[in-house]
Amino acid sequence: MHILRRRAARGLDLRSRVPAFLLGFLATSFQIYLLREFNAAFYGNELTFGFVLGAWLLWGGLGSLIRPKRAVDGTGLVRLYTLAIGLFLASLVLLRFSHRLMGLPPGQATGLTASLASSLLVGFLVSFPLGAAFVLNSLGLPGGTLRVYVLESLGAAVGGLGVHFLLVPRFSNWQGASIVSAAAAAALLFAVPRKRSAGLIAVALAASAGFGFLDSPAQKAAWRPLELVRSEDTPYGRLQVIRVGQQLSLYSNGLPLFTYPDAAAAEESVHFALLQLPRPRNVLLIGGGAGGALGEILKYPEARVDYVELDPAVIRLAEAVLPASGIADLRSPRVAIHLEDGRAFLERAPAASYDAVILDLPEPATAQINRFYTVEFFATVRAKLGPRGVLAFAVPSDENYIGRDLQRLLGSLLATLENVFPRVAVVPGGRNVFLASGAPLSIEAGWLSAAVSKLGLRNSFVSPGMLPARLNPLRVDYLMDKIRAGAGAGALNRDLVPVSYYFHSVFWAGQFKGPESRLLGLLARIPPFWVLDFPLMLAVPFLALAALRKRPSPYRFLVPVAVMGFTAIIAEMAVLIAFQAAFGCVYGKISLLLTSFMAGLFAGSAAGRRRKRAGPGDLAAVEAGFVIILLGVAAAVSAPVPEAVPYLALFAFGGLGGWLFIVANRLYLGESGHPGTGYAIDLIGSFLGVVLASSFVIPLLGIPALLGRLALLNLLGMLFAAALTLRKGANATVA
Amino acid sequence: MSFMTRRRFLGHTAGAGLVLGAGLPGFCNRLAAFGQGAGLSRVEARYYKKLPDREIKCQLCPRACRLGDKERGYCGVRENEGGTYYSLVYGKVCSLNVDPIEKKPFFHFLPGTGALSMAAAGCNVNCRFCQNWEVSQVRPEQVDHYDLPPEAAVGRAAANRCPSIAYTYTEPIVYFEYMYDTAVAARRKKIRSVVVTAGHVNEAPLRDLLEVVDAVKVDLKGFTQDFYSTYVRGELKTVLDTIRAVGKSGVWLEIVYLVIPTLNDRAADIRDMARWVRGEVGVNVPVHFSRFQPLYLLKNLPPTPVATLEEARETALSEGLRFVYIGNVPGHPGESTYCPGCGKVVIRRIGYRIDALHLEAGRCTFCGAALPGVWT
Repeated sequence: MHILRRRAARGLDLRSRVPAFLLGFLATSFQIYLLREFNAAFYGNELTFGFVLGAWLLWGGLGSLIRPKRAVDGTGLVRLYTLAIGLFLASLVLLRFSHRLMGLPPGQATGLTASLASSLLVGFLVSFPLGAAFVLNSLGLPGGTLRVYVLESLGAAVGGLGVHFLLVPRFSNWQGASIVSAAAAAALLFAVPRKRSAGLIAVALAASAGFGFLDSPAQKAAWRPLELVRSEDTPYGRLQVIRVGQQLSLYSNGLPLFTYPDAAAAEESVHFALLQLPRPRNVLLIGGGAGGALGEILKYPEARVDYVELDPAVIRLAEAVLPASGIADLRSPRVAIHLEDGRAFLERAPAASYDAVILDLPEPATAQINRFYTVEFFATVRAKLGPRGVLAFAVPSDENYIGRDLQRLLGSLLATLENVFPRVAVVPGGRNVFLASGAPLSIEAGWLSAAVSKLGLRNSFVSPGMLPARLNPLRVDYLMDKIRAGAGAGALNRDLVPVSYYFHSVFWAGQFKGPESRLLGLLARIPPFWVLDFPLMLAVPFLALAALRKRPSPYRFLVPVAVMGFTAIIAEMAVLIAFQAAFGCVYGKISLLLTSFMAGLFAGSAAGRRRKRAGPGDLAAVEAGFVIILLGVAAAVSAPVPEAVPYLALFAFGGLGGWLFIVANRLYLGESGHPGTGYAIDLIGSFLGVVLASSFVIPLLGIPALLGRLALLNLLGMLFAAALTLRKGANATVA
Repeated sequence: MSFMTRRRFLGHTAGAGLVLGAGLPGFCNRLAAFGQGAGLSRVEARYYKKLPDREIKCQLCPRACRLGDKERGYCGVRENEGGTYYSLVYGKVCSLNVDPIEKKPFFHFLPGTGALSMAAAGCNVNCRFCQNWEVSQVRPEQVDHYDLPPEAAVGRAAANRCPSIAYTYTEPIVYFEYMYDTAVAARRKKIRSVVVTAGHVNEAPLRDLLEVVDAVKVDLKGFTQDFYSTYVRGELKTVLDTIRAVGKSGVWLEIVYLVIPTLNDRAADIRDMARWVRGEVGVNVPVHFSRFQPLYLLKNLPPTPVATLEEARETALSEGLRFVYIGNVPGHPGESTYCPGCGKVVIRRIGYRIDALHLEAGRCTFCGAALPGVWT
């Protein structure tokens, strides 16, 4: 506090504002690139996304708790920024070579422990220094914490927009990171007041500039001894083509999408479905076309295919690397390629227009893909299928034994299908093929084999040589019994309650020897009351005590900040996931969505600074605003809304949050004073929120339930803040 | 099957039905309980030595686990209790199917017949590419199994008209006692036993086992200790000793080499392996080069290109091995058996189906050359 009073310098020149602005700019762009690189290294889904974001927030919060012994001048700050840039580039390298560093071959899967540990490490390396920089900026800049927050939010918004619109579409991750770092280093060299360190910054500038050129060699090195032949960073992730001999595999974020040729997968996806129909004509294929499924469909002489692929880069890469036979299928006159989201395409299709809908997508390993396995989507499919139409998809499974976790996953898929379709059959095997229809289905080996022979299909796997063993009644019955037992209560998969995605996480985690799977499985068994309502009930007496203490602590003003931090991030995630479910392309627009939030944060905090006289009544008003918006969003997620709504919602959350932060800090700093504490509480609250929400609350309990409880929590916060106004001397005025 | 009368069939089926029915409530209970290990067995194990202070030393496999009271062996399904060693999965079956014998794969043993394929939980190695990891790489408490004592297992085989029982999916060595007793019971009913193993077993138990079983297929995972250490946590030498011992015993032997891209597909290793087989067990032992399908911890590796398998087959054939097959590529000519005398196809296979069989009394019907194997 007294440090602020000493540094009463009036300097309003632009250069003094640059460091705070730069902080926000760097924080967001680094975060975006680290998240993208993390996804590419650890096959990101929303769970790992939560880890990365959470670790980032945690370390940033801890960093902003530092209490420097002596005032740090401009040079020290510049050195810290330079260090942050260096650590950022180092983190990118660490992530790229993470498998090698763990002693694993490139094809080996890693579990949640590895993801969590890496996210904590990277968060520490990059976010901690930036959190510390926040404090140092606050100490050095006239206007202190509040001004820094405003400038930082502005820098963050600009950074996010710049990365999304200018960099991601044109440059690979490392190239973009290189540009951002070099620009920051240049700013440090020329635009920030400092005395020394020109040499150090120049080195950082040179390293940043050269970094982008290392991208391709580093990727190749990380994949050795497998041969990487092509790579492209798209808004959806990293696509890579691996060659083994004449065989090509396309990977997305380290996970195989398809291999060419791979008759087994292609045949399974297609023939079990199409053999159910006497003369399949109109077929919709979502995903996977370049992997051979198209060729299998074209074996049926009258079939024509609408092939929908979300990422145009997949087709582009396929055309660049596949042999002539593979490309011929893509270019067949009987195939129409549509580059958009499969769900959006299907929703626009006329009713009863398809004989078969084939999903050739990965299993529900992310909340984004999960939306193709939900009740809502299946209902859409049923509407667009003819009366004898068939829906089919294949899920990796176990040929000889269905364990409990796998049982729950498969059970939820079965339950969801049976909720919509009267007939469902499941083919046993290393992959289970789910078939659903309004008309009877048959997976009897003799019948299918006869159909194959009659049509003269030259199949290797869905063939008379293989079907009898695969469709042995003992196997069929065993599978059905097992998964039906797993299709109990709570198994229905919905857009806003993505349980299949959760069960898949549990199943996947079970392969690793760590405690992850048991923990996730355990969490799945806790009744919602204990997770949502009980803590709320506990909060009531706690807050009441805190509000009514005889000698109030200055931290009381930060309680709303903690609530806000917790709420805002969860609401942000909820909006993102709901947005995905409705519009299907979050990964492409994620930086834009995050930027809406940051822009709101900037606008709110700037407006908060203008408000000279602030009191706890303002806090109560903001909390009321949160409650209203949360309830509004809860209503909006279940209804069809224009695409602008999520952006507005995020902007509103950011705005309220920013306003609250400024006002609460003003009150807090008015009474005591570490400038970073408010920031820390905000971030740590966010860390808790994101880890809880992404790990199990959103997938299992669903978004509407969660938003409702958040509204209640903020209602409590509002009451708490209102109680504070009853104390004497509640108002404070600090410029 | 001449021994199968209608009464016996009904009896066996009823017996099997009773067993299944009896197991059902227990099965449902297990579904409801999370992580509760209900219903493990407590049958005294064989091949161990008692030591002072209630310790034991297991002598079943080269890991030679030395265990104190209440400790379990590396395989997880054998436990020391108070100085006596027990098998926890005796009679506890977790997977039971009727599979074509070609699926194990056995190509020179009762072709075209079905094998009752069974497994109990557990394994004494840790292959990163295990197809059955859900039952082999977990504790027995985590697995849903039901009771199927040896006699009942034999009854199931008979009920399904299977001339053989296959101990497969997991590592049958770790449930040695159950396998052994079932094989003995099966023999009494003239049902044969085939063992699918990774080969980590000591000489003495192996010798005893070979007296009661009829065929063994050994998974030779790679041909360098490096590969075995990194991807299997096993010992190449032990496996080679096992293969040698089976070869010498007269029990029918087949070998499978799962070819995994970049990990064990080097031409030099394949060549060394082929030479070793020729030298130690002879050119008549069938060798299968199988296509790797990505799963478990190596789920993100690409599958094996067919060309790689074909090269491996060419290498092995050029080293003099007579019966070299390609697995998991249905429809490939490498699935068929060619007469060593005249070169014609004596068994045409497409997937698991036998399309044509030109063998009589184990001889090629074209030229009369004898083909090694167990044909009837």
